[in-house]
Amino acid sequence: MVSRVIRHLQSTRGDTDTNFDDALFQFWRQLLEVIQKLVHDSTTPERPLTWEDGRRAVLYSYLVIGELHLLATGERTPSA
Amino acid sequence: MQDLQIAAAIFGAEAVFPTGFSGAERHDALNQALADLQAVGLVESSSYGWRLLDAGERALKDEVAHWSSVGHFSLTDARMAILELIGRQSQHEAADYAQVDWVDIGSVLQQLRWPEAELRGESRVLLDNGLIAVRPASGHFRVTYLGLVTVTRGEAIAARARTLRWPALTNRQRQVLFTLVDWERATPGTGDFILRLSIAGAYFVGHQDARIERSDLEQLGAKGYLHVRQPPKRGGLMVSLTAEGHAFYEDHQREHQPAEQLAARVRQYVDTAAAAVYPDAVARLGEAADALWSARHDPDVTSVGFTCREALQSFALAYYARFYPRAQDEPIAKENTRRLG
Repeated sequence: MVSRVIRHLQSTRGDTDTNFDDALFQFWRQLLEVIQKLVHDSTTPERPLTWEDGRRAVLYSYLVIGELHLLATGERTPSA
Repeated sequence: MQDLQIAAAIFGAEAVFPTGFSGAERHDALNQALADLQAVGLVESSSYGWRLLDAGERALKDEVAHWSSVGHFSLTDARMAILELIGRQSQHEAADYAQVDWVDIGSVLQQLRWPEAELRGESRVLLDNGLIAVRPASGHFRVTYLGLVTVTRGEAIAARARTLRWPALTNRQRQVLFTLVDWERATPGTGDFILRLSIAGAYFVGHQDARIERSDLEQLGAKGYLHVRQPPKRGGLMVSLTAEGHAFYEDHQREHQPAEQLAARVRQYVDTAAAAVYPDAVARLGEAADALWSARHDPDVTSVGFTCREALQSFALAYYARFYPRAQDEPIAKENTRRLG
């Protein structure tokens, strides 16, 4: 789903933006992996689940959703 | 007074008479200082020697007033950079006197890494205003007394600005101010914002979606962050950002950790603009964040994972529906909605 939108949007974007979009999609997929491990608590015994895994999932979900929406709309972020 | 009498008063008669003080470096330094003081109207020279002028007498009695009255130059960053550099390179301190040396233009160019024509063009204004002097034969520069005062004044003002406590603002006022800065930066050349008043509330022309409280603008104006005035013909208000408004914005952004500030900016964007498009996804993310802060033990974060996954599923479906033009013709089968890629 997300990849189709990105491919569609990339048709009007330059090389630098396209490369970034590809990396963003890879990041999206990796984020899904992190969340999958979180859901299944499937870290190894040597690397148990920690609060940092949850922080990573939430923080990067915000960032990826924000970046994907910016990519589609061309908007600018407001001052925090 | 002759210059040697002045020298004797400063360095002691035994240092000046009868040995060869004339032509020594200290003598040059003294004459240089006198010439610079003459240039700012504190002393004058005649065939009888040097004489203190009224302005010089006043300066002795009240140094603050003197400092306030000279060196009022508003220089561009480029010109201030030249002045500071020449000032630094010129200064030469010996055990019992200080002077400014002539600086080779080559060393200035080496430091600034500018084309020579640009340096000469920018430094012309400094020369015309007497902030630097040039030795015609060699083209060497030196800073003048007036130039040193200007640099020191600039540093003092910058230091004061850093420590100055900004007039307090409410969160809403700060948000209004920052929104205006964002708009201005997004559209270079936008100087004035026109506020219209309607029954539904006040809004800026071109930004009807953002509701503004007139009282916030008036407060921001009273505190110096905005210039608020009546437009010549129609009702409403004309508003523009002041230098203080921009400086406060920049100070505020710098004060916070850059990463923290940028992350907060994205989060705010997701919670406002993106939330209007993906309300369910953003609500789930908020729940995930709450669950994260509530997690007392590491294994508790598993629930964060469930909520994040729901948020991303909801986002992916809405993103596809809104931004993929053939989404209606190519719907995602229900059994595939978990395949988020």
